[in-house]
Amino acid sequence: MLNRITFREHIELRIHLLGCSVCRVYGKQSRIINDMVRQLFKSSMPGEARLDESFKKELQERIEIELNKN
Amino acid sequence: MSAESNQLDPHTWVKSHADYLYAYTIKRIADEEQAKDLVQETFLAALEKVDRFEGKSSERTWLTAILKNKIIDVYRKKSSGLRKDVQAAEHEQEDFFDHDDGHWRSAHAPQAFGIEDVDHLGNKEFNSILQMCLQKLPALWMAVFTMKHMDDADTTLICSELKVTPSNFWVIIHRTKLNLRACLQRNWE
Repeated sequence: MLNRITFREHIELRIHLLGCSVCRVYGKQSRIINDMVRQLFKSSMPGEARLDESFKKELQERIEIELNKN
Repeated sequence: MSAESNQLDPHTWVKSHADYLYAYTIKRIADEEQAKDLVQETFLAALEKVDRFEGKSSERTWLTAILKNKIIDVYRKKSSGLRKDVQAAEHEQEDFFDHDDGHWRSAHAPQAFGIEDVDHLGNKEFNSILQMCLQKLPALWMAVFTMKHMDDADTTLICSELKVTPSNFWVIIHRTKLNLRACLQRNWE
């Protein structure tokens, strides 16, 4: 496992970020992307993707056949 | 039988859970036929495990756990092998940084493109672009990144399931983020 950055590295990073606007933009976008990906996976988004009824009917029939075997 | 029931009733599984499981799958594997197969396999596998259900979780949670393992199997199969897609993506990123000082090259440097100050959470158009960018990732990167964010899966589990070292795991997370950010910038501006 990688270790956390040291205190010295943390200070060096802070100094670098002060003079690197591109890095600050990247850092901000990186955090936003994390949030958006998490939200994308965790939201239930009901009704967006649904199975067609014929597939569901066949699927339940298949389950009933398996249940009747036992 | 409600979705939160702690008893199993296979006679109502499809009605109660099929759409939910399908939507869950399609977000993680953007392949409708494969998603349908996985939902079917989940119910059939669940039937074989009915005796082992202890009622500690809801029926839906239990079925989702079975499905989740099946999705991981798919990730593992997709991401094994030669991983040529990884090499191609890594090659693409070689130009991002100056080889001498490690700084961003101006042509690839991140620019503000409108996500920084506006809340796009829940924006359907943005989500569809994000999903498109996720689907373009190399299979291994997609698998690692999805597992990390989908359920905050433990790093050790992800590494063992997908056979990557812990240090390679963080490299993949970093490279995936670079790739996603560039893809979003190209497609959202």
